[in-house]
Amino acid sequence: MLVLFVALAPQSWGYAPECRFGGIVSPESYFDPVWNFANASGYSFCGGDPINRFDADGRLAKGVVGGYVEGDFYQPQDVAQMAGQFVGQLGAGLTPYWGQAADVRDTTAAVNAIRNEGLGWGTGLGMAAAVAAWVPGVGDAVKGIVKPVVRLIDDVPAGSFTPSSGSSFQPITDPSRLLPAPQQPLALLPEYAESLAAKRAGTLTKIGEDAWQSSGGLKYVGLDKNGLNRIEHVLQHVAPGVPGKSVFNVPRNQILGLLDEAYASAARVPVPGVPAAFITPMGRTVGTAGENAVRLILRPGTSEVISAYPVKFP
Amino acid sequence: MKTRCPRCNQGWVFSARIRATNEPVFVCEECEATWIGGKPIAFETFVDMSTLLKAKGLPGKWSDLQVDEE
Repeated sequence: MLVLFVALAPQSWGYAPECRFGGIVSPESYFDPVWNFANASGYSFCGGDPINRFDADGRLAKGVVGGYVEGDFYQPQDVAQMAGQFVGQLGAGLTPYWGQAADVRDTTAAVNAIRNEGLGWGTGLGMAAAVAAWVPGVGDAVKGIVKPVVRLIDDVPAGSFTPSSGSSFQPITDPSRLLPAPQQPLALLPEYAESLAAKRAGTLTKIGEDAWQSSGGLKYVGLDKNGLNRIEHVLQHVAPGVPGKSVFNVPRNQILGLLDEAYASAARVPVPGVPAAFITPMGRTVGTAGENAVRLILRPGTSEVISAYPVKFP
Repeated sequence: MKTRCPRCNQGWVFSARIRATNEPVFVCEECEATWIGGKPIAFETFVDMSTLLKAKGLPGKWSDLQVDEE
């Protein structure tokens, strides 16, 4: 029977192992206000599979196996596992020998609960349910219904259940557990990611003395022959420019973004025979003399810019 | 007489010396293409300045060079 339950669980109950760790669902609630216990993973029970929406993370199946094997000693962590425990215990009760062994075990537990906590309506009902479970099938079903109800009702006074009583529900005493679980970062749609990257292109971060890194990964490090830093060196190719040097046709505040674009472009090709020099056809005019490509000269083996200027290509 | 850099065609090639070794070199102020050992200033014969200087145990900066009078 146990083997049957385990074997059938993945298919017949929509068990999806790939969703066990939350799948694609964002955790919206860490606390179930209805059932007053923590949702262990922070993910909704069936939300991991938006198509089937049934036991996407395998909790029900886990509860079934737990209920079948451990009976009342299994500690469900949520409603899904509790429902699974009910089914598992029902299956155990219908299994010859194993069902009787489980009844002995659960009756012993009920007796111990009365010994430890005294005879109350909760422990009394627990004992009655354990006795009823000796009736195969119907009795197990009655116990499976009564026991969780007793637990939930008896859980109202905080801490009234302890592991020795067979309860699986612990009172939540840490306020931080009631806070929403951290949100997962949202995946950006490619076109929006590109747009965002374009907006951020050319943004600089200082990484050292006379050293900056652009949002596109290019670095501007050190000084040139005239004591200009590498950004100032590149900006010599902005209007009005320096005689003899080609000039970009974009404003100086867009130059670094343009170079990031050239560096990131899939169209960038190495210049034959010149180490760490690249040409990127931009598909538009980027220079004042009709240049349509950007030539990047980097320090070999790095992304450090030595120079960059517009060129005609091919 | 200044020479246009055959590598980048953007900057001028200057005569300089490596301070640590006193070796004469020619360097493009735009792209740092460097010629050493009397090699002709041509596209095929340049080396990267920082690569050359670091190979000699130097930081690889312009301050490693003494630029001759222009």
